[in-house]
Amino acid sequence: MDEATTTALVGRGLSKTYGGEQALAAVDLEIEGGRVHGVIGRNGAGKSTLVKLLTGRERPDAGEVIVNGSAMSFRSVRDGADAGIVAVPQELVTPAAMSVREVITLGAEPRAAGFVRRRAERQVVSAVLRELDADYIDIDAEVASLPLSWQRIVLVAQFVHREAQVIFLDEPTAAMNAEDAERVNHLVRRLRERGRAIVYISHRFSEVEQICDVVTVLRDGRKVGTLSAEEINEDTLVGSVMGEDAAEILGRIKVDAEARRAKFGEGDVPPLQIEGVTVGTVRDFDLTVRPGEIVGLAGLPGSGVEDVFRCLSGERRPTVGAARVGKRTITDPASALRAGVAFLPGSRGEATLAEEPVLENLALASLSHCASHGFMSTDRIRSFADPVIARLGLRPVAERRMNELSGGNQQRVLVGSRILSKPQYLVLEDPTVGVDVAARGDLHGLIADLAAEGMGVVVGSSDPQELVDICDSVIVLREGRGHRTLSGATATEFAVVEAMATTRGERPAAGSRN
Amino acid sequence: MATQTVDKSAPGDSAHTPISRGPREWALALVRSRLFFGGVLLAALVAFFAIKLPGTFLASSNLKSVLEQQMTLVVLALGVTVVLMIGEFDLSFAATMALAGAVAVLMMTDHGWSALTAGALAVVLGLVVGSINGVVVAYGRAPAFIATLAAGSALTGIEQLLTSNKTIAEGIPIGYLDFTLVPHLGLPLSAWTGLLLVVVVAVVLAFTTYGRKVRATGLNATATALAGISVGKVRVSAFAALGALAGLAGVIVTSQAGSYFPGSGAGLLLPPYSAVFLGAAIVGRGRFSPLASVYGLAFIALLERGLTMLDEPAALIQLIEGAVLLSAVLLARREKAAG
Repeated sequence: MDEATTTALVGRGLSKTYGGEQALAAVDLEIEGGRVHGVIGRNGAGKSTLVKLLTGRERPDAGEVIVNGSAMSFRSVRDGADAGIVAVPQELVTPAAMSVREVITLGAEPRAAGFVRRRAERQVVSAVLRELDADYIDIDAEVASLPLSWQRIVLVAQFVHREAQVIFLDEPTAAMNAEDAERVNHLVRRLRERGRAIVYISHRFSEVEQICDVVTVLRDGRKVGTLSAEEINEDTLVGSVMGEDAAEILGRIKVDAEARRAKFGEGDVPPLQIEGVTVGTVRDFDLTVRPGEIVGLAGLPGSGVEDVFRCLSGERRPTVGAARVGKRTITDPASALRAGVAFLPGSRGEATLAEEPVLENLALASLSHCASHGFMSTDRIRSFADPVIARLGLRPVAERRMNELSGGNQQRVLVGSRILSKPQYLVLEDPTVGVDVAARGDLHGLIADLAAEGMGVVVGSSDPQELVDICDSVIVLREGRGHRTLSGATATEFAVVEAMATTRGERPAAGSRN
Repeated sequence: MATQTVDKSAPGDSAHTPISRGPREWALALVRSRLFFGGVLLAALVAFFAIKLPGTFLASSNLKSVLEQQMTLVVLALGVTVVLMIGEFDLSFAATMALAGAVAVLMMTDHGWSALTAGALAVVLGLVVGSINGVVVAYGRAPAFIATLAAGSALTGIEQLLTSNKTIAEGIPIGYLDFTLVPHLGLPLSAWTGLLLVVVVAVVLAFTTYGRKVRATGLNATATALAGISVGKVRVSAFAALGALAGLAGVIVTSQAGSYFPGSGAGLLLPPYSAVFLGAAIVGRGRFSPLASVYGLAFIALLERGLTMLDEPAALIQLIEGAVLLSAVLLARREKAAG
């Protein structure tokens, strides 16, 4: 196919203003078939606006979208899709109770006289999955029962079935472990081989480096550079996106670990403890976190790491044993907070009142402190939350609504709301998921500061490197048991990944067939 | 939840709105505000009927009678608002109301209870029934729609068993009827009670930590639970509040009628919902609040009264009310889409 070099989609001088603020300013972009085009930038740099304009979700204030040489005027996502341009959203929106087959052909079923032609449908779906090198997916399985990466592949298959030529992938590997991420990235390479144009938006620069043929860098709504294949490496990517030096923060965490242990190890605050707990798929698990300590929890989905977090949050009661701080046992979320254990789930939506102002979100976990005789006022919340607002640099956004904030700021607000409840222990399931590098550095710095003040922190992450970077020790779960504890020199990304890897080979590796 | 909309002025990811405002901005903000819009709409409605019905529509006796007639709905709508605010639904409150009214009347006629104790019993009965609904929904994890549908059916069955489905009027003390009849400072006690409840419920929901918990539970129950709030208790309390208010409504209905009569609850299940949804759509930006509900009630009540006084047929009135509610909801959805 000579499609490999054709220009599939061009954006010229694209501009968009929201409420007086320039979200995108005269951005030019050329997307070619058979190539993976990376788009990187901090949250709020204009990435999502760019996607919206190019896919027809919103109309540009100025500039044009050109497909196959002719200028288009998309009025809706539908128009974009008709021209072969589609976006796979970061949050998966599939009708979860439908089968893979039904989802892939949804709205474009092979039919005769209004009836779905079942046999033709099966053939078409199998062919699409085979084309994507993903025929290990059972086409009759319910989509909700599949791993996250498979669900994303199903969604892409839906677009391929409708003959999409340009596919935007927004954070396609967010919240995925290495194995799942690789499966998705294999799909991306496969799409490239098949001549599709892929626009790959990601904060994971190691993946961008591996997979992208060309990278566009956005900053404050402007295009600040285009990197060719030779120029793409993690350092230039990080450098082009952020100014702050993440390495410095990480260095500080490591240096502090000894001092923290000496200072808080034998204090009055009892440790956060799990002893011989059986919860969900987890058997006989132990965990001890002392004040000032940062402990990481790692494990593949299904290893039980989610269950340990649910046990610490109080959402899930163990069948044997319990999480406790001294004499206080955690039986439900309210008792966790009373025991001084504050929890943030990995999915931000689970902890956010999206349509409410930042202040309301900050106050939620400590309402009684923001009231006198049960009566609240905005002033009272503001004065109560002010130290945390100042500390987390939230003053510019304090009056805004939560859903207007970038992912990084939302996460800061949520951490702030937990700090305000004055916990002894902070449990963060995946604090930097979908957060840009700079905000990620900020959050790491904040975690280090809190630990230095004597707070015990439990951190999870889908990125093993992150755990190795910020934790004093990392506990790796495998098949429902605490498999290994890594600390000091033994805690390397490789060691964590190796400890996580399951020995049972029942899950086919991407591309093992065909 | 579906009707809770985003403010249409919500800007994009990086936009921000200036905080400082001059008099002109304030005036503009006022004109743009939904309260202003709602006020103009209501004023236009009143003006229309005042011109069509000179001297009678705006007569204080007419307005007073509207107010007194609406008290049952005011009390019910307040409770419905609370349950909708936590993101749940209740289909049993009309049956609770009818049962509570029946029990109060029976205690007075067959057991010689005083008006006050019988009325108090009705409220307590409502509270208990509502709490049970709440426990079933919050801790039994039953879908509220089905659980309260079942509860309503069962409660109506009990009511019919107790009353043999016959009107009971003999032997009700006069004091019971006075509650909705004898004016104090211009209005009967029932009306003052209803107005006081509006103020109390509005203040509690707007300014207390309890109100905050109610709203947060409706917006995101998981986030609320993770913030250490007992979402289950909040849910039970909301259903209990609606139950107690339904008990009071039962007293008002039987007191106004001077009797217990079968089927009193049948016509009172959906009107409170209409009023609450209408109010939320017109003045609440799609969000439920006690005052928005009262606005919705006032709007429907005045519309109905005006059309009745103009001798419009009941069928047409029904049709117009349906059209008004539908347009209001569509308007609110459009705003959301525009945001």
